[in-house]
Amino acid sequence: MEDEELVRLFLGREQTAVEETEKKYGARLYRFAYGMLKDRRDAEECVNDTWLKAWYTIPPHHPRCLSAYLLKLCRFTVFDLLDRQNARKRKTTLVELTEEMEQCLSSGDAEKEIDVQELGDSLTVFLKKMSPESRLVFVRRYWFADSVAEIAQRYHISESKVKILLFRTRNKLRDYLKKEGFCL
Amino acid sequence: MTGKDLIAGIGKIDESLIQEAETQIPKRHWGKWIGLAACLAVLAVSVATQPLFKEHSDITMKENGGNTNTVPPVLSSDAVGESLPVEGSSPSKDSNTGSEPVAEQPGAPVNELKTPPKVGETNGIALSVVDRVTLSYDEMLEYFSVTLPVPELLPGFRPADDTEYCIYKRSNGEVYGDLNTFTFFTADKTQTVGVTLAKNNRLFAEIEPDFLASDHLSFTRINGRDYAVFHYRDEQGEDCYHLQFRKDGVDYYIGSTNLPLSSFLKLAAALAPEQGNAPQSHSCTLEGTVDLVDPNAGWVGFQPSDGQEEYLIIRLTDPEKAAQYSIGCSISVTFRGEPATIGNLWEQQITELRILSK
Repeated sequence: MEDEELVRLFLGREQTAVEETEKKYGARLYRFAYGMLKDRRDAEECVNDTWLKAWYTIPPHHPRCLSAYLLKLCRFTVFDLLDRQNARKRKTTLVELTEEMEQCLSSGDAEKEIDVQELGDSLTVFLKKMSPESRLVFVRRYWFADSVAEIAQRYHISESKVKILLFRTRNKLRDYLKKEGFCL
Repeated sequence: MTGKDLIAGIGKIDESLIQEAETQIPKRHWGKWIGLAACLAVLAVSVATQPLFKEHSDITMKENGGNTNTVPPVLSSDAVGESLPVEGSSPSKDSNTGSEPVAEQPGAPVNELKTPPKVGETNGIALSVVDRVTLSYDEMLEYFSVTLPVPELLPGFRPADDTEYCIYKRSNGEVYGDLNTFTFFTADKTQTVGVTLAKNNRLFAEIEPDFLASDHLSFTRINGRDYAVFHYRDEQGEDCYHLQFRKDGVDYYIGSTNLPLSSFLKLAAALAPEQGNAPQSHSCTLEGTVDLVDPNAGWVGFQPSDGQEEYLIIRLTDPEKAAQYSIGCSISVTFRGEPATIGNLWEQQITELRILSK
């Protein structure tokens, strides 16, 4: 079933909306969630939560791209769960990503409240200015939480090259955010 | 702001970026790689039959042993523009030297590779056909702001007439892909010269780590600088030469097939940076902070702190040695010659590598 048709089912409050969407995107979301959580039950739980969130947010939201929207919902759910979990192993992914991103920061005011949506918009502008190669690698690492090895395999490049691309992009991002007035 | 804020902000990026990263299938540009492979597949064996050391004021050579020779002149400056002998035979067929190519003889200023350079499968990401802009041969050269006087230097060679040159441009006009190979052939196509240029696509044309049986690199003096020239046989058994360097922000990968070494060096001298005046056997010392350590590959990456040099990766022959270094430590590296491959300092050219502070 086409995405537009699936969205129409959600907008029309059709009971088959979740069922049909699960048929099309269930496996993909599960792989995504499992990749970060490394736990079958947790991954299934997050995917189920994603269907619920989709049901309650469409409408009013009318996603332009259903797959990206579902992934986004699933990512929020996964990160919420990771936040709640105390098991060190389970938190590894989030801690690792957070530590890497902290390399973009200096000793600014860490307590100052950030408008996450505004930050997201700025990041969008920044990433669209980057080369496709740098952008894809960055998004795979920090949005999809892929490991360096997975990214290297996906794009047929060496792990070292992935690390270099990420390092350079983080440096550019730090400069960009400073220029944009974000308190780092 | 915290790292967690940034991760949360990334969660809010435009959905088109998510979709792109989820669905984008890397495209490999086989045409380009084939072109580069052809260029790398170079070779020229007939060196054995060539008067290898003729007179030339700009090109000097250093012996394998590291002792510097004011080179036995390679080419006469008078020879520039003259027709060079076109050799179709490989060294192995050369009656003057039996099966020994000159480059394998003592004193030859090249580095023998056991296997052809392996072209890394990199930079194949996300070039969109929609963004492709086809250029003519002259437009392509103008884009790089270079001239390739191959036909002038090597009479009998002409550019391949079936090559399509192109760059990849985003809607805002920014170029994000520009790797192109200029191939030149003799009429019978027995000899080939390939010059691959790129400004935006940084290549990783890999030389196998075991490229030298010995523990040092030999350098060839070209325009007052020391470059590592590589010699090998391609899959067809033909002799090839390869050299790479960066000049004015453009990466050059020069290769030849069945071309005498003297002719290859003549071409290299015409294309390599001109202002070099470093003394022979000079060393350069750079300091910087390590930001990449890969003990699996034996790589240690650092950005020289003088701001003049581009990012460099130290290639250690024993990968485990990389574990001695840690991200954030300051190092000092002293090395001979130009980076043997673009952006890479090989252990064989490093005379001293010190950790300044952890």
